[in-house]
Amino acid sequence: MNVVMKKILVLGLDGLDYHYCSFLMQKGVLPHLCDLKKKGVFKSLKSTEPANSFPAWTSFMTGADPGEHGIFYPLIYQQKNSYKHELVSSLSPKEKNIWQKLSANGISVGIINQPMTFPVFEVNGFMISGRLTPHMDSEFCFPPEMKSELVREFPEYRINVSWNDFLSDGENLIRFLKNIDSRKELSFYLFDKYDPDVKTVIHTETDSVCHKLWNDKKLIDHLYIKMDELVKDYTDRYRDHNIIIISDHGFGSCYATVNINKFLEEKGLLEFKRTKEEKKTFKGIKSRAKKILYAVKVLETSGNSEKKIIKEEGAIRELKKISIFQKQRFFAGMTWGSESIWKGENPGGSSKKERSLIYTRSCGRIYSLWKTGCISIIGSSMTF
Amino acid sequence: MEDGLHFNYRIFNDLLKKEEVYTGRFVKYAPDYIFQYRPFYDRCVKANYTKGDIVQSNDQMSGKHTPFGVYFSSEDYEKNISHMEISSIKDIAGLIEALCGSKP
Repeated sequence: MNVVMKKILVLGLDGLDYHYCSFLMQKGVLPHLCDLKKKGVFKSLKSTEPANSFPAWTSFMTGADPGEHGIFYPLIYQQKNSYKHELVSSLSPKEKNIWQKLSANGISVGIINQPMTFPVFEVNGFMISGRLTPHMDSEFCFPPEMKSELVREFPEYRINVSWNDFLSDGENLIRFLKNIDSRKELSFYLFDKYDPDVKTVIHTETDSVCHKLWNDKKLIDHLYIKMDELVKDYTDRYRDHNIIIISDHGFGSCYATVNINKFLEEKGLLEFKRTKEEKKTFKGIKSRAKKILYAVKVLETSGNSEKKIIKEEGAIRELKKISIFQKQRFFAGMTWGSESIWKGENPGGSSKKERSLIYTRSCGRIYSLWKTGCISIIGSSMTF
Repeated sequence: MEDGLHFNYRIFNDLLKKEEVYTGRFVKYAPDYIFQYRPFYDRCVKANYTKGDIVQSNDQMSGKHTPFGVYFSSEDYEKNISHMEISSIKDIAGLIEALCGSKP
């Protein structure tokens, strides 16, 4: 690097939203970011299309858009004309990244927790890989010998913190905030020790927390205030650097997911092939379901409550074995009002009136099974 | 839900086998990041199969990605570096290169 040029610090705050950040800055709760805005620049930064961390951080590294580098999501298709997926890695992008280019020009780099850097690759400096690193036993450091130093000095360091469903939102938030501190300490240690020309650290905790807690603005405010303090810590320590702070996308409320393929299938525009295994299972289900229907019918007429419970439990057990997907296929194709169902079950035959009564009661029983979650969706011809 | 879980974990395991590419060994047990990435695996997996409803309520996530992130800088580089406009995340690589003097 030219001696007259300042060193660079890039601080990535994954998923820090422009609009919410502006809102909190206006309220005056993010003083350090406001300071930075006064001295320098604050504006929105457009993410990639789609707005996802993996294509976005790859675009950050390569200067290319997803169409050029080939990363649209954390999964990519294995081959042409195949729907089989595999996880992306640092080997996936088609474009060369900035770290390789800077290294080739003799500029030293230090990269910490950058998504899409596993497996780590050779750079002029050091690299600690980020998201999609399988686990802490993986070789996530370059040079590899750095790992023992890191483990020795920062035994608590974790690349990813997982959400613990057994803890409250607040407790989970505290765990993530602790990891932010732990990553900051590690960054300070490595940046100070090796002093690379371009220092890059990405804090991904923001993204994980916002996914879970976005609708709880009290907790989100805590997170943003924490990030504001984090910015102060970095900017104070590296005040002689060119400082760039970025996020890869923003955040908004998520209410539901639309399953497009399911929608197309319902509209009759898409059909799925049945595998051999599925076909085989389907036959089994059909006979099992018929037995259940028959059992239900017998129960309704027998009036033996003890037997009834045992049989009902058995029926529920059987139904639980069938996946929701298979149930949908089976029950959707069944004509509930048709005589054919009953002919098979009750060859002796009873009067039409009796059959009608049994059918109505059985429908009620099946409806209750459906209510308890044993049957998820029943054919449209079955009405209550 | 149970079916969904089972189904997804099978897919996770299939995906995890791909780690052989990285580590040269088979990953038998699900590492932490399965849980970390559960929401997007759910979405990816469900996108290619017919499981679930057309519209699924999302108890896994309360926040979703939107297109605008933030950009702060200690100086106005767009003024100092000619032809430099920073509007998208892909512009940052060029900015760093320009600041390092490695890009004409």
